[in-house]
Parts: sequence; structure tokens; C-alpha cells
Amino acid sequence: MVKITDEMLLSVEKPGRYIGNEINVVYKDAHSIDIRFAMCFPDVYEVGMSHLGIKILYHEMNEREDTYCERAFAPWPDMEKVLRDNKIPLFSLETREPLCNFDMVGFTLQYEMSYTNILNMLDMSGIPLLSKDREGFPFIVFGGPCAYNPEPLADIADFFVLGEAEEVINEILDVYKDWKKANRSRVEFLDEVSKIEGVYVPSFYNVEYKSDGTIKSRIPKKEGCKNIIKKRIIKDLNKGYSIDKMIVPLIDIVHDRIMLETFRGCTRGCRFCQAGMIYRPVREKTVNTLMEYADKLLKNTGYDEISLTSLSICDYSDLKKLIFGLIEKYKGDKVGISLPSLRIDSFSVELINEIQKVRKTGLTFAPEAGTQRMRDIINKGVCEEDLINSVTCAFESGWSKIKLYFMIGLPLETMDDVAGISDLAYEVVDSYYKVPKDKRKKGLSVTVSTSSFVPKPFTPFQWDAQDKIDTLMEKQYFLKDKIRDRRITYNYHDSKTSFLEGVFARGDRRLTKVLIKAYEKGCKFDGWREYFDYDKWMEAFKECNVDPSFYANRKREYDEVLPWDFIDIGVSKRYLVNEREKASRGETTPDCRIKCTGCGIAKFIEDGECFNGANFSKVHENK
Amino acid sequence: MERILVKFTKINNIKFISHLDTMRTLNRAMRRAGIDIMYSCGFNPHANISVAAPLQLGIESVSEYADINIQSTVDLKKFKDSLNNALPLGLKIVEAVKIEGKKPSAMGSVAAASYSIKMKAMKTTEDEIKKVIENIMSQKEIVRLKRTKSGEKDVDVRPFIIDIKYVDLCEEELSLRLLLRTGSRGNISPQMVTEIIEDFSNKSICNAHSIVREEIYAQKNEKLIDLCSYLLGE
Repeated sequence: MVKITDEMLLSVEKPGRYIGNEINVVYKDAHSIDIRFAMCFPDVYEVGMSHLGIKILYHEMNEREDTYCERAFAPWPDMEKVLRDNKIPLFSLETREPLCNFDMVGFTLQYEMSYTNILNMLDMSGIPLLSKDREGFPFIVFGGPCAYNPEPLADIADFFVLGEAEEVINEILDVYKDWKKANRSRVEFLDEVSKIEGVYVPSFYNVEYKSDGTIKSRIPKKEGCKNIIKKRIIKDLNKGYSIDKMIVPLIDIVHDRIMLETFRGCTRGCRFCQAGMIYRPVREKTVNTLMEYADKLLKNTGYDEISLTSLSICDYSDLKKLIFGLIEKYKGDKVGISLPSLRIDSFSVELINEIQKVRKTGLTFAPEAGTQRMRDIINKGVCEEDLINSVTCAFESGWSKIKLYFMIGLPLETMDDVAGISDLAYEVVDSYYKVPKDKRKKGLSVTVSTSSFVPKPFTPFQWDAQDKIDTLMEKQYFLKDKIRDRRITYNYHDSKTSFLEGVFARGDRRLTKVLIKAYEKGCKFDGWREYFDYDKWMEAFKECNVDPSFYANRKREYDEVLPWDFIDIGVSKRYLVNEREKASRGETTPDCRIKCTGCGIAKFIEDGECFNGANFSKVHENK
Repeated sequence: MERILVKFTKINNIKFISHLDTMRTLNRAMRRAGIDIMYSCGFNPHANISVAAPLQLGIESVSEYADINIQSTVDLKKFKDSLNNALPLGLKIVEAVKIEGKKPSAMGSVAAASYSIKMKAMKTTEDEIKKVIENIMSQKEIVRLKRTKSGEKDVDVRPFIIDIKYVDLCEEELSLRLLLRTGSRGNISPQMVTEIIEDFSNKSICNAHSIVREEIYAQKNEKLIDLCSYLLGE
């Protein structure tokens, strides 16, 4: 246990980040435990504690009597300095135990720009950065969405978990417990754990490259290594472990409310969206299950707000019944219901109007692209009329602040498509003035935000070149110039950050050394504008003799071996190729609740049935 | 509706959360304990809990006070126990009393607070320390820059220091007791007083490493009475 003095805590910003002691935190006698697991989020406390996944795994692991799961987050640089100056290793919040004394240290990979923070957290713990140097130290395990391209972290990880970790974690812990009792070698554990479906041990494979730098082949180093790693999923979310309590932080965090997970997966098939592919198939929780867990969570946390989470909440098949059920049941208790992500249809505006009787702050819509041509290419199944109807409905209901999300740099994009973003914003302004003066609220404000498209693995655009930084900036300036209206604000993302994200999203093993080099140069908190240092990154690429644009800006052929090809997410490559071809032709693909589009996931799940019995009334009503 | 005055502690690591975070934590504890709190009317209903005097981050307290309005009658012991079960370590209700009749709010009653502080005293003696204190107390005026809602301005803070008492000096650790004006009619933070002590001692007394609020007082005629007794009308 490390000693953190009051003086140290008083010298840093927000000391509440480091004190633990929250509501529902788990305390166990660490000495009577077989396995100590440190669950880490490579960002600051307020961000990490807003993530539902680590809360689920924390409580699920702590259900086991033989395991004690604790948490650690990236200390903010002021605290890092205090710890390093006093030679204090990074510690867990529960028992203030240095991470190097744990059996396993797990990191969730939520975004590529957090990778340097992982290295920093390992270094602060005194744990060697490379797996091969880690004899006598904890096993480092990675999971989360970015693990679907594990290769840039291949030399750092001891192993990866692909898919939903709740489904696998108990198998891993069982194997570990046996291994620890038998007092066997490190590689013997990796051997054993690699036999579990969904577990990938990168050190068991060699990668050979062609002279043009692309991958020639992956070769298992020994017999018995799986050629294909299948992701793991929970078949029925209504069965098995479900979270009924969660840690309630003592300080304000980014998402400080109950997150009630309604379903996983998405049937829309937007071609840019990785989540829409990797989380298939759609699995819903029933209204009864959700009502039951909402009740437990409210009682156990004391929160007064429930956020219904999923990839696109308005697709939940019984949404009205769920929302009105919750409102009716908790109207005396002042519980608020919120919907985080909105698709454009007037139904959702009416619904929001119903649940937010007070304080009409702002409404966010994501048309994603400015022209119908572009929206067809990305298969975002909405049209301009949908948007205008929805915002009109919003203006009529008393909203006057609208946010619109778009992407620039999408495949096949022309300047006309970029111009379409500004045209659409002006049409939203026009539709405000079409609402009679006495019916609309004063103070119209339209915020247009563009993010820069990053092609991701396991999407139909995984072969496409990302726009170069200059091209992205040209498009941003073009829009900035075109949007000259005090009622419209235009925001855009830093294109250098998007470029680096693009490099690591589709990178391979050769990036590990660049990552370490950049870290050694001082790169950390790359997702935070005040810390991101593009020049240092470019120096690191140069010194390692790695060309970043090879990964970000190069168009791949369909027959190229991609670094993540050995992972089976259930959606077939054939389907992705077909979707990419349809994009070129501007053809759309229907929502798969209407008609099966043959993505392959039905074959992947043993019983062969998508949706496990959800009813689709909502989608059919719409079409 | 019933008004309950609670006295609670905020000690150990929980001193590192802000006043707003403390309010939020109290509110959620009430909800977990299943206490029927009253909610304010208006656009954004919030629980009817009001803490008598905000405590700055980093300062501990063994007697914080809050008014809580609840909907229906409760058994006070049950109220206290269930709330304590729901509170995090360091926050603890030590007393809960019903306030009947027309009484001022806890917040509106605050006139002063006492603190015990620990500072480092190097190369100095009890006598010298006492002289420093005497010197401070004999000043007619001590002007300090104070941050207010309307910006920063120079204020004579001397009237807000009611008393500084020497308690003990042990291996360079000096214990003092401060009695300071607190609340809307005049307020000085204990940190500012420790800075004044640092200045008047030429830094031979420095580094206030522990500050604990011991009691909060209301004023009746010329006498200071602890908030609980005052509101109970004793």
C-alpha cells in the first residue's frame, strides 16, 4: 500500500479523483483472495468512471469470492508529477496497492488516442512496456472496441479479449487460478488462456511482409494456435449477469447518471460505423428486465436520472412502453429519463417532448452528410425531408437550439457534398422562420459540427484512403467561409488528431515501436487538445522509419491481407465488399429488421436467430 | 412537512470533495436511504437540503449542519441510522433533531465558527508564538485582498477574527484554536488567518497542514451559542 499524504492531495487539481471511497465500492481482504485484478481506464477519472463497461466487469468480477477487482485511472499530469517526484508507483483506488503487485492488469481500449496513456500507466507502475520483458510481473490484458484491431499493441499486450468480456472473464479467471496454484511458467498460462474462444495471444504469431510493405502472411509459432479468433458474445442479455448496482462517484463526472443498457447491436447498417458491425447481432433486454434493473439501480445508487443507452435508442422495439412505464412508476420520485443518441424522425422529437417537460436545452441530430447522394453512399437511411420535419416539430415544441453532426472526408465525397452541409444548416434556419412567431421560442441557434471521417476495420470502408490533413483542412475552411451567419456556429475537429487516429485504427505490429518512441518523447493524453503534440509524433514516425500515411491515406485492394483479417466478428468479408461496391453505385441497403441482408451474423450465432424475439413494430410503422 | 436539523462530520479523505459534491452526495444518500425529502418547485426540482455554512475543500469538520425538509413524520433514530448506512466513510450524522415552530434557517443563523489548526513552528518558543498572536489581536486594521462575487477588493478583515488561542507546541507542531466570523454578515476563511499568522511571524510559523472546523455558532444578544442549541431554543 502506498502512502499519499494530505499535502500531496492538496497540491493537485480535483484531489477527489484519487481518494476512492465511493458509494458501492467493493472492499475485500486482499490477503484471502486468489486473484487480484486491476481494471484500468487509460484516461482521467471523470472520463473513465463514465464508462459503463468497466463498471459491469468490476461488479461481475467482484461477485467471485476468489477475485478482488480494483480500479485505476490515468492520473492528471499534476498528480503524475507528485507521484513521480515522490517515487510512488501508480496504485489502485480501493487499497492503494501498486499495480505491479496485481495478478492481472486490464485496460479497456475505447479510443486509439489513449494508447500512450496505457504506456504511461504501465511505466508509472514499474511494469515493463513489452510483453517479452514482463517475467515476474502481472499479465496485461486488453479489451474493448479498439481491440478489434489489436496489432498496434501486439508487443505490449500479453493477451486480448475479443468481444463481450462479461462472457469470457470467468473462464480466464478460472484458468488463471489453476495456473497460479500449479506454479507454472508464464508461457504455460498464455498457452492455456489462448485455448479459450475469444482470447488472442499476439506473441504466438509471426507476421511476414511483402516488399511493398503489405502483409504476406501470419504464421502461428507453434502447433495448436488458432488461425481465426472468434469474438465472444452474450446470447441473451436477459440471462446471466446484469449490473444491479454501480459505483457512484463522490465528484462530478462526465456521465453522472444511471446508464440503463437497453440493447446491443444495430440493424441500420451505416457503412462508416464500426460499432454497427462489430456489435451485431441485435440483442434486446425486455421491458420487464429493464424495469426490474432500473428499480434496483435507483435504490442502490440514489441517482435521479436514467439514461437509456444503446447504439440508436429509438430502435428499441418497445420504447414507448419502457419510457412511459418508467415515467409513470417514478413520477413521484423526481426521476428524469434521458435519451442520449437521436435519429432523425419526428417520432423521436415527440417522445423527447413528452419526457422533457421542463427545460428545453438543446436537441442534437446527426444527418452525418450534407447531400442525399452522400447519405446514400454511407447508407444513412434518412432524407432531408426527415430532418426538416423533425426540426420543425422541435421548433414548434419550444426548442430553439439545434445541433447538427456531420462528417467530412467520407469516401467518394466531392466539394458539392461538403457545400451541402452548409445548405442543410441554412434550411434548418429557414424552417425555424416558417414556424409562426407565436409558436416558436426566441433565440434560434444552430450549431454545425464536423468530425473528420476515420476509416475503421470491419466496415465497408476499411479499404478506403483517409483524406489527407490538407484536404480535410481545405474542406473545413471552405465550410467556415460558406457559413457566415450569426445564427449558425461552425465547429470542426482537429484534422491532425483524426489522421493519427486513422493511422492506429488500421495499423499493424510495426506501430508498436512508434508508439513507444512517441511516449518516450513525452506524448500522453493525446485526446486532450492541451497535450496533443503532433510534431513529436511525426518525429517518432521518422526516427522509426515508419510512414504514417501508408496506414491512413493508402487505398487497399480487396485481396490485401489486412492486419485484423484473422478476427471473425460474424459479419463476412464478402458482405463488406458487397456493401462497398453498393456504396460506389450509390445504392442503399435496407435496415435488416425489414429484410435480412445476409451479413453472416445469423450463421455465426449457433441458434441462427437474430434479435432473439424482439418485436419490430416500430420499424414497420415507419416504413 | 417536517424540518430536521442534522449535525454531521466530514472527516478524513472525504474532505477532498467540494461543497457542491458534498451536497450531491448527501442528496443521493437520502434517496438511497428512502427518505421522503421535499423538492423545490420550479423548472429543475432539487432536494430541499441546505447546508448551514459551506466548507472549503481540504478542511475537515466535526460539526457541519444542514436543514432537511421531509414530507412526512419520521422516527429520528431510524432516520439517522438509515442515513448513516447510506453515507460514505467520513460523512456521518451525529445528531438529528426536529425543529418545530417558526425558527430561522440554519444558514441564516450562522454567526461564527471555531477551528482547530495545526501549523509548523520552527525555531520559536511558546512565548514568541503568544507574542505573535497578541500582536495580531492588537492590530486596529488588517487589510487583505478578498475575492467577492463582484471581483477582488481590499477589506479590513481584523473585525472577523474574534479570537486566536494558543493550545500546544510539541516537536515543532503548533496547535491553535481560531474563533472566526462566519456567514453572510462577515466571513473570513481559516486559510486567510493562517496566512496572516505566517506573515506576522515572519514565516517561522507556517504550513497549516490540518484545519478542522470544531463548531458553528449563532449569536444571541452578545453570546455565541452552538447552532443546535440555538435552533432548539435552549
